[in-house]
Amino acid sequence: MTQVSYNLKDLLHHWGQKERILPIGNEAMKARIFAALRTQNTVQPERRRFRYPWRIAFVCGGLSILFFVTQGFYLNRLTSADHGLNPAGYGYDAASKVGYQRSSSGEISANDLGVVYGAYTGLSAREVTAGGIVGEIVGGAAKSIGRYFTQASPFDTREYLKTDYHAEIKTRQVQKKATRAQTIVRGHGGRVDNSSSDSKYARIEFVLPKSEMESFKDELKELAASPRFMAEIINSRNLLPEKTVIEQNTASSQSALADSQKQRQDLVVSHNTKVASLKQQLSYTANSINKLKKEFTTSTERQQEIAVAVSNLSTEQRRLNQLLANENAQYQKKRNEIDARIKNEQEQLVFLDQQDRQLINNVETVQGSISIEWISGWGVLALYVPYYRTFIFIAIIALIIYLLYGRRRRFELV
Amino acid sequence: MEIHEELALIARAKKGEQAALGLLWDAITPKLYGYLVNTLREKSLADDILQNTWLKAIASLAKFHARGVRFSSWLFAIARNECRQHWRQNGRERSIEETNEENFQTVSVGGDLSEKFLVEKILKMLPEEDRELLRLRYIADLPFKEIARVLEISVITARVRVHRSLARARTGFNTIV
Repeated sequence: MTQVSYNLKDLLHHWGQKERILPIGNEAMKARIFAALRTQNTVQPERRRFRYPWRIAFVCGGLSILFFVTQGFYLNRLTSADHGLNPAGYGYDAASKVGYQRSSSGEISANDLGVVYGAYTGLSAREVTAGGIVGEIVGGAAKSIGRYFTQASPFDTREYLKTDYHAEIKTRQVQKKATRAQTIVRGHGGRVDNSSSDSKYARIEFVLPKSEMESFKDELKELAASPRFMAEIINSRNLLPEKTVIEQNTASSQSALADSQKQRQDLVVSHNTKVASLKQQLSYTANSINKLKKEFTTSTERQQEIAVAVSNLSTEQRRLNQLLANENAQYQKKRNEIDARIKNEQEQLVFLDQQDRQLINNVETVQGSISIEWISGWGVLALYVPYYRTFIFIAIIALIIYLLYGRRRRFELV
Repeated sequence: MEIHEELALIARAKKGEQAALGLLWDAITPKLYGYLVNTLREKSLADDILQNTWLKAIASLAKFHARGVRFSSWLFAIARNECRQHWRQNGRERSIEETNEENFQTVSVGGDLSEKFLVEKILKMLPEEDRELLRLRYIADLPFKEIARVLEISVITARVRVHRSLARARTGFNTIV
């Protein structure tokens, strides 16, 4: 095979060499071509063309990267602020606002019960949270019961949606817009709980009837120059677990109250029976003593017997009186205990009823805040120019330029 | 001709020195003309395309940038392009099967006819792509790198294709011998 291979290659080499020939009239042809070239002055200097266009591609690419970096930096700065327009920022902010923070184990923490909120009376900037409100409602009950909420039954389809609303508005007239926002809140039957403003930033916290929410939102949108300048977060949470706990506590309290009332009734009946029996015995003893004392006899022996009997009956009378006094005392004590229990249960029921009404009221209101932030000219540009699309566009242009001009071609065929 | 010699001649030719062009002509034309004759199977047509190739190459000599590519490769690329243009305008080339012995005698003046017939018989058994590769390799005497440039493929692909063509040619060779 090697021999064959050698022979074939040798043959082809030899064939190739033999094939290399000059055309007939080679010199004449050469002279003719060179003459034509001389007359046409063909060997011309390279005409000036657009040189190094790939450099433009690099410049465009560099500019796009620079643009991307600066835009990214600017947006990061915006979103890192507490009141950024970034939805991620919103999410975080909203999560803290609703105060619905679960522990690592997944259980709802005491914060969720609003224990913290229950401690304060006024609505402050950060603590006006849905969780806080919830805590106000159910915190006391949860503490008295000493257990956390559990998830509502999956078969219970009732909804008690608590809505939280947050709006971010970018504007160049912060204080003017803040005043208008407060007017809008009040105009929809709402209550401004907290407001602060300066030339660059304003924040308004409010409570609004749920029925006014849609018209309020529409009016608030008119406050922003364009939808780009406004972002909203609406967070809804079903308060069914809290409602369930209130219902369970109410049922438990009602049951306990009924038990206590039954116990009190039994106690009274038992006491009356015992007192009647004792009084009957006392009456019989007193009658016996009276009979003996009225008996007339001259017999010394009989007189001695009567004296002994009267003495014994008197002793029995004292014992019965003591029993009666003890019974009355025990009855009074037990009745007081039961009455106290009944009073507690009744108070608990009143408290739970109040919590239930508060929960319903809470569901029927919207807790919200409006952040108004001053925006710079560059910020306005960043809102209108989608930086990542611009980056992609410039990069594509750079790539096209490179492909068209920058890539070295194998041959420039003439 | 070494590449540095070729580059020196091109540099002189770009300055308008006819003698340098003449030397390039003398060095490259036998290979180019042999390649064209073998490809086109028609001597007069090969003459025309040879002239056109040189005219265009010399007219655009200022555009030529070596960048590791030999001038001869550039010429072969222009020649191939000219052939394609001719075929587009006038129909496909005459197939190798149409070539008769008279043509061979006129074409290969002074050649060893038995050897030539043998190679032509082998080439007849190969597809056009293989024939083109063998022409570029053995008539144009181009290395794999230059073949890759002319055919606009990678060097590795050129090497593989040439070896496969040789393998197929070897099969035909074994059949004949």
